[in-house]
Amino acid sequence: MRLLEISGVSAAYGDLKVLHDVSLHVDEGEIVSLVGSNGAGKTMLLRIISGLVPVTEGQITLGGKNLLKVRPYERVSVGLSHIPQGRGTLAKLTVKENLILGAYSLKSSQQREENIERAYGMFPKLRERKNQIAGSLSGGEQQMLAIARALMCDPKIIAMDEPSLGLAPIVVENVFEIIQRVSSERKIAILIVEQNLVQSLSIAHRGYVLENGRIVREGEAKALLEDKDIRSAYLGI
Amino acid sequence: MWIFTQSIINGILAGGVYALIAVGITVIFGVMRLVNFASGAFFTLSMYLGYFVYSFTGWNCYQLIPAVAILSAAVAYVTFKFTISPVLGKSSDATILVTVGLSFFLQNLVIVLFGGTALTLPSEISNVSIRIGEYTLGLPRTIAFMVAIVLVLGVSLLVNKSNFGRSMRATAENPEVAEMLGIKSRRVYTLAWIIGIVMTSIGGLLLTPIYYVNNTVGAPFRTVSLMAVVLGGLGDIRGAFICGLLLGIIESVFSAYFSAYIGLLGIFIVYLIIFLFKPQGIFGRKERVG
Repeated sequence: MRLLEISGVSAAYGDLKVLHDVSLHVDEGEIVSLVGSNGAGKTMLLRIISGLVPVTEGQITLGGKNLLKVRPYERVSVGLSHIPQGRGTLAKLTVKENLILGAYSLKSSQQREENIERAYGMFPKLRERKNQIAGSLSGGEQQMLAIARALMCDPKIIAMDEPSLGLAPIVVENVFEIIQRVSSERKIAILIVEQNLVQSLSIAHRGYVLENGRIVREGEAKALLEDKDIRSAYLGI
Repeated sequence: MWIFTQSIINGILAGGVYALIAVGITVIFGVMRLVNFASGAFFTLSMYLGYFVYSFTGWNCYQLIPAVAILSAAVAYVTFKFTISPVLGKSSDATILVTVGLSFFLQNLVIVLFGGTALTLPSEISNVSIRIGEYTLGLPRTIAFMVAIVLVLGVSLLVNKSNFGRSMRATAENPEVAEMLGIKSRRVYTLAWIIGIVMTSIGGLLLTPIYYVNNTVGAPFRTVSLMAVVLGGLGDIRGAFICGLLLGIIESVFSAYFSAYIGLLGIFIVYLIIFLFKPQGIFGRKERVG
């Protein structure tokens, strides 16, 4: 089942056209990786999905609903959760407050409590540190918090901007494992935008390559990983 | 020694209202990085609003609190919608000009509506005081102080413990992330503005037993409260509160030892000295640049 469908999206910063006719889709429960180098327009695409940047052309639907008509603060209620660039954890609030705010869109406070317990069960470190301010956590722990918080609203899809950014390689591996586990256990679709091509494609079902604002390749993640052109362009081998 | 202790007592009592206004300014600044230069004008306006309701009902200053709170919240809502909201997120010059402009507008509006002569809101307790041993506490100031404490405690509880407070702090730290979580930042800004204005307004109303109502009565209160906000480390509720009391004490001590006219000057002197040594304010933390 199609969940997120982006078709023919173009967008610009002022006069500078950044995205040209981008189309991609994410099915229910699927992990999709959008890879590309710096400045390819990956973050802009996520900001469009979040409603922070307008499109000049194109359509985006989530579960059949026209997402561009939904106001940014209402998008979480239609099942869209975000982990923005730099993780977006609120450094001055405690770990627990961050989690509570993750469930801001939920009506029932009982549901909120249950989801917090579930988050602690999944990430015991967060329970230990629940009363600490989020800014005092290590980079890896903050990424855990970001993922846990994104799950608090029981989303259908999580859009993540560079979860590997600023993390040590061993931590990156761990984070990607968690993402994969979360997606398969909870049947949540994930759209990852990454520069870290190998890691993000190795947990994804499918992938897209974005270059200069255009989708230049798409396909099974495995096939993309083994593709000669991609390997030479992005990995130098 | 008597003079010293008595002036400290007077200062703490007077400082309560500075602290109240300073916390009101801080709530607004903390959430939307907007310095409310119109706080003095709202302080003034609230006294006129009190007078207005009094002229129909004959209520005293304390009975007027709910009515003035509601009226000033309504004025706050309207001014937010038509003056603050359009410039939010624009340059800080724009927000400064808007609040300064709003201040002139309100100060002149009350002249148009109520005339230029000073008014009084009669109060039976204007000259009543409580004696504790050899010290005297003016009753109106004591009540104003107590109400201020209750309001400040209430607001800090709201900010630190409630769901709305959490959404306020989230919006203050990162409005984009807050919206991603489902928080409507416009609503948070509107409510923060209203809370800040109502606090300032109640501060004004509480001083009607001992101040004439005229269109510039709020100016020194605005200035001192803004200084308390800056000294308190911009955006820190506890800091603004303590510095509000502190400036009240300094004013009172200078008034007692030199002359009543020199109290404000004392505040400016101490303010400048503190800033010479601690430019980030008493409670402000140094921030890394770059």
